[in-house]
Amino acid sequence: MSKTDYIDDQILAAFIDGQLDPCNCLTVLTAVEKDADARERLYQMRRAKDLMKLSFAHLEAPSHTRPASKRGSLWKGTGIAASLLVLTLGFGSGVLGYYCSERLTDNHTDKSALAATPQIHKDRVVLHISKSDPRQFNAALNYIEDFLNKNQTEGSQIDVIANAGGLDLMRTDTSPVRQRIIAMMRDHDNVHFIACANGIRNLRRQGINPPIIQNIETDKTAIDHIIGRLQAGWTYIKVDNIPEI
Amino acid sequence: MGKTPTCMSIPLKNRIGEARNRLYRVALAWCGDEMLADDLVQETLTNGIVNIKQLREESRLFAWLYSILNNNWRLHLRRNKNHDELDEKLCSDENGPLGDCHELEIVAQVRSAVASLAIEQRQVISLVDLEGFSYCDVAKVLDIPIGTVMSRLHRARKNLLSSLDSPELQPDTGREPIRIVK
Repeated sequence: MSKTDYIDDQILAAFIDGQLDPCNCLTVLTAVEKDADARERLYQMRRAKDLMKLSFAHLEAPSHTRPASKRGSLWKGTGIAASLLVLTLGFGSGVLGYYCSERLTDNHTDKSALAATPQIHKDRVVLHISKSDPRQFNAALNYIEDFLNKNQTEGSQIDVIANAGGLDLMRTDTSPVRQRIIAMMRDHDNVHFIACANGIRNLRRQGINPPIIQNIETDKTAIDHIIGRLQAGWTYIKVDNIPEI
Repeated sequence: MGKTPTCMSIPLKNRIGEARNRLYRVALAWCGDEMLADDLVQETLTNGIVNIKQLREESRLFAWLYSILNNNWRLHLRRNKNHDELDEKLCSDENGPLGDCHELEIVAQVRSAVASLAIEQRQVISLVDLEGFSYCDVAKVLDIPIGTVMSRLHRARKNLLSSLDSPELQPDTGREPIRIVK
């Protein structure tokens, strides 16, 4: 074989990765037919690619929350009229989704990839806190109390989910507002506090076993729960963005 | 309040659901640690949800999510300056539950070999081989030239095979070593 016929490894890799046009594919195939060395190199690359694919195939992210069947129904349920996520512009500076239903008509010119007809439940809120900040703790509880006062109809509900530093809100050893939380859970059926399972796990990995206030749920992760709620049309609010703060 | 709401379509919802496992596979290939991979994916999905407005083309969803995953992975490495130690740990030949049968041992060996690759090589090979990304997409996701993608991929496969064929990684099963016949 002449030197000009030599097919280098990167061309062979591009061939097995489907990166070549038909003409170049034919060139490679022709060269490989004549060149045992190229055939061997091609085989080894194919082997590496197949081993790689097979060794990571069928892996699934760990489930922290629901049994598979329930989990599946959450994702696949066609009866849910609301869209998955309803987000206001600029999460970092605004209340996510809270005003969405009123402002939908202003949004028809939105050129983002996201366009749908969501059905937002303003009386179902998931409140997310991720920072250890007593001001935010108080703001969150004030918001919850206000919500509970204003939403007394059947079906209204507020879920409060804490992860990362926000877990301090729900720890008996760090929460400055634990008595208010306990009283809220005692007096209202429609407020649920959830301490992120991943956050707790991370603390345990650091050697800290956080004592979580009794009756607060600890078997869900923040992301699973938030996505599930948004999918069901709930309103998402990050505590950082509560206007009163 | 001068915010414009953004709404996500049902197909996009389904794709986000699908994204989790795909991201997890790649994250695991990158970091080699199941818990860390799960954390990275959750962080990525959270970032994706929060910043979904930045996604201008729905068809770019996965590439966009992988860019976020890459950022989170880089951030993690910067925060954990002892990641060399982590890599060392990942290279362990401890197969754990995967050692229960011979086929799964191969899977464990490949994963271990992947963990022994340089981080940059791991990233490229997993995006190409697990996700089927084009070289061009990988270049965009990782923000590197396409020539770098090709050279890293080449080195990754070469090193992967070299690790797999090294005697240290061959299991002592008392059986004939597996031969893959062309």
